[in-house]
Amino acid sequence: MPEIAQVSSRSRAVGFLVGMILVVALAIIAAWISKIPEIKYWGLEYVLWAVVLGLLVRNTIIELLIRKKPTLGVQERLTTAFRPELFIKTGLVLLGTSVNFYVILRLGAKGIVQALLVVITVFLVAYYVARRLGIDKKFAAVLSAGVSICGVSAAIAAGESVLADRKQVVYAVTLVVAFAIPMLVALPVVARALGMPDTVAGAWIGGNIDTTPAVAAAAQIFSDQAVEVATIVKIAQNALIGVVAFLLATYFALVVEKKSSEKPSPKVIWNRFPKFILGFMFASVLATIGVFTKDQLTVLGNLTKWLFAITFVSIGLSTAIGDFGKIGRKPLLVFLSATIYNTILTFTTAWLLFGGILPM
Amino acid sequence: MRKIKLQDDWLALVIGLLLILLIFIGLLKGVPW
Repeated sequence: MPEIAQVSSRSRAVGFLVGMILVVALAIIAAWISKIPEIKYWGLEYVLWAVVLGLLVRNTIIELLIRKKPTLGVQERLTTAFRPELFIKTGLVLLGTSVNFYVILRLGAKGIVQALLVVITVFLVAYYVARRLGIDKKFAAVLSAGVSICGVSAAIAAGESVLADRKQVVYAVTLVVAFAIPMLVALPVVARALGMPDTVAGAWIGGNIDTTPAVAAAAQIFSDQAVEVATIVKIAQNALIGVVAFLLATYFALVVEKKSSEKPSPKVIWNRFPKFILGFMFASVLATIGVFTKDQLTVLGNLTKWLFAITFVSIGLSTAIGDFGKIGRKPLLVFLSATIYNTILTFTTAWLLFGGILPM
Repeated sequence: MRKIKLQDDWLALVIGLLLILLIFIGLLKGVPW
């Protein structure tokens, strides 16, 4: 590897530039594909296309270059530009502006009760199943956060809190995206077949599907009225990202990885706490007190989408499909069982809380 | 690894807040999707 190790700063800069152009170009193509009317109709969102395009380029062109011209050090040079963690964290700070606590309160206590029930119990069920299957605590935490809160963002925030292996986070993110697609198609159809009222269907979709864009897309397939409830329920869950990141950082610092010599102190927790979550929280406070105009919120929303798109392209670009084989099927089982539990739970809570059965 | 994570955390925080500030003061507008 001497050639690779001696990559000069000039060629590193060139690698970064080429990598960045590739990432942005693929993100633009992903956004463009997702806007094709037929594709939009089926709710196949940009996140999916971004991952798929990234994976495609990584596992064909880049793979070929790695094999044929190993001395070029293509992957090493390009990866300086593929920084999904940085992109998503910046995206998450901006995502904070979509969490308006007044909007969440518009649904009354119902939205908050459902969000808390779903996040807490689905997290615990997933964590329990993962541990029973012998998955390590860090990966279990990342998977559980991904399946219980809002998928991608939560999986990444949790991964940061527990200092999980990057491959585990990527795997959890891929599962989140992969699970969202069938759910996105199935939930509106089932909701319609069961004759669910708009609010109940919205609450079910919002509480159950993991990724925020998929929630909006699925609710849109059902009805316009369902979109509002589904989105607010989802935002209520998203608001819990910070709390979960804090709790996980605390739990892992004080219990799981406690060194016998180390005294539990706020400093230990602070060291581990993902700092960008502070930006997320600050941004949601700004949004709640009404600092932004409607136009500014649209710009913030669009910018968040771009950051997420380049994140997912980068994730795809830095993932060799062969890596997944090593992780095995257990995480898939965790996701499957937690999703089945989540579907039944949110189906019940949506009827009880939003169907007028329990007066709230 | 730990160092990179810390760098990323603070960098993301700064870039994120900077972007919010730019949008708030109107220097960054009309981002299309």
